[in-house]
Amino acid sequence: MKVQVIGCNHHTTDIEFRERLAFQPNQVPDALDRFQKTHPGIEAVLLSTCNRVELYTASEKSAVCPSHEEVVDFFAAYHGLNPTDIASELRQLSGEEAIRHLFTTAASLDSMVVGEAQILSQVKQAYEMANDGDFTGPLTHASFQAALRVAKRIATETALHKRRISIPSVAVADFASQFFERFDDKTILVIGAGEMGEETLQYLIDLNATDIHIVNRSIERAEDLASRTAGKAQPWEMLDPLLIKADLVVSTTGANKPIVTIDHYKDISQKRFQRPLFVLDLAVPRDFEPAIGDELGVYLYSIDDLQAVCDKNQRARQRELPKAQEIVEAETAKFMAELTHRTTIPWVKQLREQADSIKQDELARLLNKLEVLGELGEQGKKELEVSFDRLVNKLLHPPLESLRDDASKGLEHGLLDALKKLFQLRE
Amino acid sequence: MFSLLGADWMSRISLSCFAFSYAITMILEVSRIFFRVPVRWAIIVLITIAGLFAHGTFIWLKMKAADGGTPIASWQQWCLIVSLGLAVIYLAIALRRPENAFGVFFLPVILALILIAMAADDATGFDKTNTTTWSAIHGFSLLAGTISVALGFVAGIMYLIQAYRLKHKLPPRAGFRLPSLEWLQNCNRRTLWLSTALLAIGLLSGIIINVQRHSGSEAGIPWTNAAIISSAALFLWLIATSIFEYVYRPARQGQKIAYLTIASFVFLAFVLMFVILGDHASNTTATSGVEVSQQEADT
Repeated sequence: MKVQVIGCNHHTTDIEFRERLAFQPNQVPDALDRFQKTHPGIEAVLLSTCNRVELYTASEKSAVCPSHEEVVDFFAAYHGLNPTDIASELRQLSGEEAIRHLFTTAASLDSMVVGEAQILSQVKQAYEMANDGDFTGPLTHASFQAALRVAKRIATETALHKRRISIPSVAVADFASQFFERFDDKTILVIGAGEMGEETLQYLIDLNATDIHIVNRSIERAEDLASRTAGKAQPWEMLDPLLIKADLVVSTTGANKPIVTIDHYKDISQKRFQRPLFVLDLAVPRDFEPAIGDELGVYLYSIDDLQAVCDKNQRARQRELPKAQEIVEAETAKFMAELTHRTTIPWVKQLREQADSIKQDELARLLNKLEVLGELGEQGKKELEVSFDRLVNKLLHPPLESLRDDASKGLEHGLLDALKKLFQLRE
Repeated sequence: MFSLLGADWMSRISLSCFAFSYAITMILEVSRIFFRVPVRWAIIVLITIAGLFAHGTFIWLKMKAADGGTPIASWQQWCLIVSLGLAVIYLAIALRRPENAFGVFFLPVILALILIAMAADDATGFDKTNTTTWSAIHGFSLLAGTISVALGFVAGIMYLIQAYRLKHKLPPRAGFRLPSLEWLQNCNRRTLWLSTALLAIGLLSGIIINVQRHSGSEAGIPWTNAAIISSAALFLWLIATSIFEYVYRPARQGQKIAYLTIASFVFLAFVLMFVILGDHASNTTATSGVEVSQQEADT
C-alpha cells in the first residue's frame, strides 16, 4: 500500500518553471486519462494551481506505484518537454510525508500567503475532477477526504483564516465595513482603472454595491473596467461633482502628483456639508494630499496604512501556525495509523482463513472418528465446534492484538513481517 | 399563582442580586477584549437573562407591595425601571449583533442607575393619589424619554470611539468590534428625535396636570420649582438640538450628532439630580412639583 506525491511548488521552483508544467482545468481529465492508460489501476489526483503542480498517486500494491522517473516522463510527454530538464526539479514524497504534505497544503499552511482560502477549494476541485473521471480509489478517497476535514478543523480551531492580508480585503472588510452599514445605497467613486481598484471594487460588489462611477483620464479604460464591474464610466470632468456626491472613493491612478490637493478638497468639502467621506488612496504616489485626512469627516487611507494592517495580520497568522501544525501532525499520525492498520487487514484475514481451514480439517477428522465409534450426538458435535472455535480464537488473539498495537505505531517492530514468516503467509 | 412561583425565594431577591449578575456580565464582556473563550457568549446571555428575571421580579414585587396607586412609586423604582429598559435593549441588540461589544458601554450605565436606586432607597415615594391618565402619560413618557437619552448617550460614546479608531487607522480588535459609524449615527439621530418627542409629551402632560390641579387655587402652578425649570431647560435644549440637527446640515452626520446626544445625557443627569434631590412628585412635601401632593392641591 503506497501513497505518494510527485511535483513542484513555489518553495522549490520559479514561476516560469511552474507555468511550463501547469495544467489548465480543462486539461486535467485528459491528463489523468492518459496517465491511467499507461498506469492502469493506479489512483491519481492532479493538483495544478499558480503555486504548485502535484500528482498524487496511490495503490494498494506498493510495487506497481509509478516511480519518480515514470511521473517525470508523464509530465514531460504531456507538455512536450525534455524529461532531463525537469527531473531534478520535481520532488517526491511518500507515505507519511506525502500525507502530511497534502494536509498542510489543503489547510493553506504551505501557501505563498499562509491562510489564504482559495487553496482549499482548489484541492477540493482537484479531488472532485479525479473522482468524476473515476481516477480515484479507496486510498485517494481516504486521504483527500481527511485533508478536507483537517483543513476545516484548522479553520475552526485556529484564527489562521480570520485575519485578512490582502490590501483590498483589509480596506473593505476591516475599514469600509466599519464605516458603512450597507453599500447598496452608497455612491462609490473609482478614480483610475488600476488593478488594485478593480480588486477592491469586486469586494464592494460582493457587499451589494451598485452605484459605482469610474472616472479615468482615458474614458476607454474606464469603460472597459465599467463593463467588467457593472459600473458607469464617467469623463474626467465629472471628478468634482462625483467627489461631492460620493460616500466612498477608491483612487488608483498612475499620476505622479496628487490629483486632489487640500485647497481643491476644501472647495468640495463646503459642498458636502461635512458629510463623512471614506477615501481609499491605493495609488503610489498618492492621489490625495495627506492633509485632506485631517479634514473633519474625512477618513483617508493610503496604501501604507493598509499595508501596515496587512503585515500585522500576517504576523498574527504566523503566530497561529504552530497550533495549526500541531493539528496537522496529530491528524497525520492518526491517518497513518489507520492506513497501517488497513495494510494489516488482508494478512489478518489470510491468517484467520488459514487457521479456520486447519480447524475445519481437524474437526472433520475428529467428528468422523467419533461418529464411527457412535459416541457423539448432535449436541456433542456443536460443543466440539464451539470448542475448536474458541481454541483458534484464543491462540490468535495475543498475536493479533500485538499486531494491532504495532500497526498503531507504524509497524515499527516489524510484527507484520514476522507474522508473515511465522505463519508462511503469501501475497 | 404567586405562591406556585415560589413567593418565598422570590421575595428574597434584592437589588444586589441583579446588580451582581450585570457586574459579572460586564466582566465577561470586558474579557472579550483580551482573550477568546468558546462558551463565553452563551454564559453572557444566560447571566443577563437571569439578571433580567431577578430585576423584573424585584420591580414587580415592589409594585405589588405598594398596594395600588401609581405603578412607579418612588425614584428608586424609576431608576430601576430605566435600568431594566436599558438591560432589555442591551440584550436584544447583543443577540442581534453578537459580534459587537455593546455590553462594555451599556452595562456601566445600567449599573450606575442601579447604584443610584440603592442610594435612593430612603427617598420619599411619589404621590399615590396621582392615578389619572395624564399622570400615567407624564410618568411613562418621561421614563421612555430618559431611556432614549441614555441609549443615545451609549451610541454617542460608541460613535466617538469608532470614529477615533477609523481616523487613526486602527483595525478592529477581535473582542472589541463596534457597529459601523453609519449604524451608530442613525441610532444617535433616532434617539435624539425620540427623546425630544417623549420629553415634550412629558412636559406638556405635567403642565396639564398642574393646570387641572391648580385651577381655582391661590398658590397657582409652581413654575419656579427646580425640577420644572430643569425639565423645561432639558426640553428646550432637545428642541434646540433637534432644530439645529434639522436646519444645519453638517450636524446631521458625523461627530456633531454624537456630541449632541452625549450633551443631552449630561443635561439629563443634572435634571435627574435636581429632581431626585428635590421634592418633585413627592407625597410628603407640599410646596411645588409637577405632580404636587394631594395635600397641597387641597389647600
